[in-house]
Amino acid sequence: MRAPISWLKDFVAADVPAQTIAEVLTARGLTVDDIVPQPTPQHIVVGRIEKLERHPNADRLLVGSVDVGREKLQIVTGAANVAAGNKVPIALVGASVFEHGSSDAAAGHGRIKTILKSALRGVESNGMMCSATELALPGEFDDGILIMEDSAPVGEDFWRVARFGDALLDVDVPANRPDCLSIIGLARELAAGLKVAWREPDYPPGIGEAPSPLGVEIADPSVCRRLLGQTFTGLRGGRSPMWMTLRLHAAGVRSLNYLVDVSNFVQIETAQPLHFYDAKLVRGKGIVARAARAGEKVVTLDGVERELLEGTPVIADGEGVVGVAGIFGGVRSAVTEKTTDLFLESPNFVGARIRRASLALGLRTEGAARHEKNLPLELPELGRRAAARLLMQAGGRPSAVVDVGEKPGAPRTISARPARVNALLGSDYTAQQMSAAIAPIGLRSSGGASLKVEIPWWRIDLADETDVVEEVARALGYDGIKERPSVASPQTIDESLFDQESALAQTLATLGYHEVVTLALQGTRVIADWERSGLPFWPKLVGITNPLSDEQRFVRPSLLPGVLTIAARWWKKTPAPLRLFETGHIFRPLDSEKAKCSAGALAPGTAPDGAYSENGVFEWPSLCGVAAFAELEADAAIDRHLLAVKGEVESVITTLAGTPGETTQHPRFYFHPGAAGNVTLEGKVVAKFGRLHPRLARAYELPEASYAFVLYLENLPKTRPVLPLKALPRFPGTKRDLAVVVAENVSAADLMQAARGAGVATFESVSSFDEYRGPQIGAGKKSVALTVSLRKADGTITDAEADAGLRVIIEALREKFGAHLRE
Amino acid sequence: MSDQLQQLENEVIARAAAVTSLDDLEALRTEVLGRKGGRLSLVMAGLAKMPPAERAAFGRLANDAKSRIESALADARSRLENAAVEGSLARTYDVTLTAGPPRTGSVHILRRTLDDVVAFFRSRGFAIVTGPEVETEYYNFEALNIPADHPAREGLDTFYLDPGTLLRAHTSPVQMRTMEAYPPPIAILAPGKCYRRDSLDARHSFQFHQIEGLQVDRGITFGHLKGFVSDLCRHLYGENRRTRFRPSYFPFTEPSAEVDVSCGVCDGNGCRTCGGSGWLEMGGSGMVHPNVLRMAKYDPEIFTGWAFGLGVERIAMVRHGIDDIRLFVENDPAFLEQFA
Repeated sequence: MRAPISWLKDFVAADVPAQTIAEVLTARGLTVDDIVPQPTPQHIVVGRIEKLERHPNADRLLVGSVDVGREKLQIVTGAANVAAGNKVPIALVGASVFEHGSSDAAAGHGRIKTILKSALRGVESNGMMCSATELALPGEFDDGILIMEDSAPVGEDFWRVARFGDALLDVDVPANRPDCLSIIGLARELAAGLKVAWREPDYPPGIGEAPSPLGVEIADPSVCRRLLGQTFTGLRGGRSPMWMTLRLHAAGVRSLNYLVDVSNFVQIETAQPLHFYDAKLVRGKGIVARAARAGEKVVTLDGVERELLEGTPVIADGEGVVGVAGIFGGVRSAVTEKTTDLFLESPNFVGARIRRASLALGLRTEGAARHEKNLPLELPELGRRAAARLLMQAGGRPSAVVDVGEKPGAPRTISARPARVNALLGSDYTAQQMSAAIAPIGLRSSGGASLKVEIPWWRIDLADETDVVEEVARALGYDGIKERPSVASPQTIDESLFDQESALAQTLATLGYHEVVTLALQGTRVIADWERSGLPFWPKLVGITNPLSDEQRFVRPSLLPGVLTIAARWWKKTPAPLRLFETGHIFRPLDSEKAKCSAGALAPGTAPDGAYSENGVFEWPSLCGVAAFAELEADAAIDRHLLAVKGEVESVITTLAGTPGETTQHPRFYFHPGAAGNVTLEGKVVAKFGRLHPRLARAYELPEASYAFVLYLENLPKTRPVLPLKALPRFPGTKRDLAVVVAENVSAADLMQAARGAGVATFESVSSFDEYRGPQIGAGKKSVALTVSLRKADGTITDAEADAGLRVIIEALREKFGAHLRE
Repeated sequence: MSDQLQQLENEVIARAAAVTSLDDLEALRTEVLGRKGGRLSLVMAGLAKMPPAERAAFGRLANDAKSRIESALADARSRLENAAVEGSLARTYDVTLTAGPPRTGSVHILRRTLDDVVAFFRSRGFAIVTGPEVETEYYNFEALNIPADHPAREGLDTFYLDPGTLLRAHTSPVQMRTMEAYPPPIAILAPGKCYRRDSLDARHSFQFHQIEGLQVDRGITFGHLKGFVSDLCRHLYGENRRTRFRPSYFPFTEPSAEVDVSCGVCDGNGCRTCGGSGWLEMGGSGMVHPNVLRMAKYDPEIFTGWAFGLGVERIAMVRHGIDDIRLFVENDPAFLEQFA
């Protein structure tokens, strides 16, 4: 809400600097976001042109004799729109005004010129007649010298006459305070804050004797609660006086004509939205408030024909819809500069209905912004009076008032226990202090142990005791409440989901991975980048129904595309190798494969493992890492980088599980089909890893040696288990390397599993360190190099014992896989 | 025999004193003391042929000679090793040359910031809890005292998946989920991603991270809220920063307060960073609305509480003087490395 301080001063004696006013309002919850100074050049007075003669030496110049009160000035002007008798603003010698035509003078940025005593073509000039732009006034005024009303007092300061000046406040009015979407409401709060008197608006009743020729009716009480109507005849419309134009300009509204300006003026001053009809253009007996029927249309004031959803609140006359109720008027019966007879509508609509219609139509008008907050039933009468006064000033003769619908009830009261107030605030105010504090904003209260608080009609937001608590706090100031230290009571809330993610992130950082954070809301570009590879994007996505842009179409089904996009950017900028990771939730529809696989394990409503399947969406926490290396270090058999990345994945898993898990070969569509695997833990997949599909790597301009892994956090332990100590070795052991030749389809894991299961008492561990394929081995075969560690618990192992153990293992491998030692 | 022995001893002692490398010394040792074919053992081999009466005397002589040889060799070894150490000590290395590349990775500045917040809350006994990002209207709005058609929904402009399902606009839904799961008293911090329909520019993002603190207990007052949040702001921004509580409106708290912290650039005097006001907006807070407590089946006459919500991006921006929120999701290495 833009509030000109000069307007506030109509209701409150606020003779303090703008900064103070802003601080007072802000401290009361009406945050002043900005103080906009109005450029008001000084030493401008009202002058009356007494004589105007041709300049002796210049055809286009005139020489005026101007009465500025204490003297008469000779002023030369080039303006064509002035005549003797006009009253105009005069910049006295020494005044600084804006240069004419200076484009943004109204914003205060124009070029400045200073008026000097001068001679123009030999004739002395002692001042200047000013145009609107020279005074930084808005564009609604005509070009040429500003002609003022005849009633303007000669010699008076121009800005005082214009009732303009002072700064504007940009006030952030909270959603529960529609009363403060008005000058009156803000002035009330300001008066309380400044501890000065507050001037109640004293609009005369403005009611005539003659019945209104047009009536009002509420056909649907679920749309409209009260409807006031009144007819004014004999109006002189035309342009608004300067003060009104300037006030509206300061409040951010463009002046159109007096009648339209009056309705805007009243809305800003009182918060009551009004609608004016040209009475001669209303068909039938008057207007009716009802819900739109299917297929009804209206052409709104902006000239757009709008089809109305069934149920939209509308105002109709005998011929059909004449406006969207409280939101936007129709063009058919609108007032114009020619209107002489006017029908005033001062309504109270049901906020929720206005809000829904306004959102559906995409029309967020000032009227809608007020109506949707459920204005009080008393307000239509206040708004009507404010308008009647201004319409009568333009010659309007008022009819009697027509008034239907609910009537305001008796003032409400709320019981508030001072003890409760103190208990919530941590204060020790007395009941008297509380009463005194809330009185200036109109809350009268009485009583001791329980205060009976009478709620003024404009405070519809106050409904219960807690609201009074807030009023007391606001009135006495939040600053006065003493700070106290706050510590939690003992509790047993499960924090493991958060801890799990933190532990993993720390481990990955230790391993050289840099964490990135990407947008979880994705769109066309993410899909297009991915599909450049020729690989399909995830087919089933969780879509957004109301995106603002193409890049907000769905929530990510995987972290991989986001991390790849960043990896592509880093690869060009940072030295190899590159390691990145991201953690975050990912989303699939409940009918996707992933959700189906997991659905059995999940009880809706609970998420002990961090995965959620409520709301038609499967959502779970994920972690994705990408590693890229300059050169592929892979031959026919071994991909060294793949094993390095696998080792990193195992380190991460060990962080939480205390064990690296089991690896199996497992293809994924986005990995190289021969270089991808799963890691399982107690039968559950906890990670997948692999070399990126070469087409995917190329699509993101990443090297062929690019790898990725994804952790299934929901299957990983949340915190590391407490493991028992295994006895430390007391005697030296020995290691034996052997290379065995087996069929290509036998995996290293198979061989190691067999070695473990061979039943050798001195067996300690086995690992695999190389693989070879080639002509010496033969087609369809490969040689795998294993290291077997052997140790005895009760003495140093001898060569003979080690050899014996190894023979048993080799025999087991031969039996199971037809393995033989490589020559 | 004894002459031979004496000669060998003299020769070895002389050569040991002259030897210049550990390799030569080892060769000398093998030549003289080697088990098979060492010169000393050759001399000793003569012992067998000696008359038994002389053997004992010569044996003593030989052993003495051997130990003098060994000690000469040992002296030579320590002389050479010392010389080597002295030699290496004479070298100077320029430690100001550029170090090798860092071996560790890094966590994102948002996590680093959040960890700092978490450390504070944990020091006060708060539990860290999370929840889903896809939410129901109930948890995002109704349970927070924002019924349908409430104008406050305007400020929480929300992405919908379908009617009734949405992307949470704040982490406040975790409040209700936690209160439903645990009886009072509770004290929690709920961090996580939130989404609001907005464009992406220097000051706005449709995705951000929020933290929400909530404490519900017996006797919790607005004074506790002020104390906790002021302490948090001092923890995050420095001991000399002041905190301001401005009345505000949120349907789920009452009284509600907007929290500002004094501008660190101008110390509250007003500058470009704070738009001249001297204050920087931090987030919203307030006493939990009784309606919210009732919906969680907590008795508002017995339990009261405060809640406080704040953007992690906002904290990081204020702490580090970051003026563009997009930097957090652009992940430019030049940006992230500064906070690694």
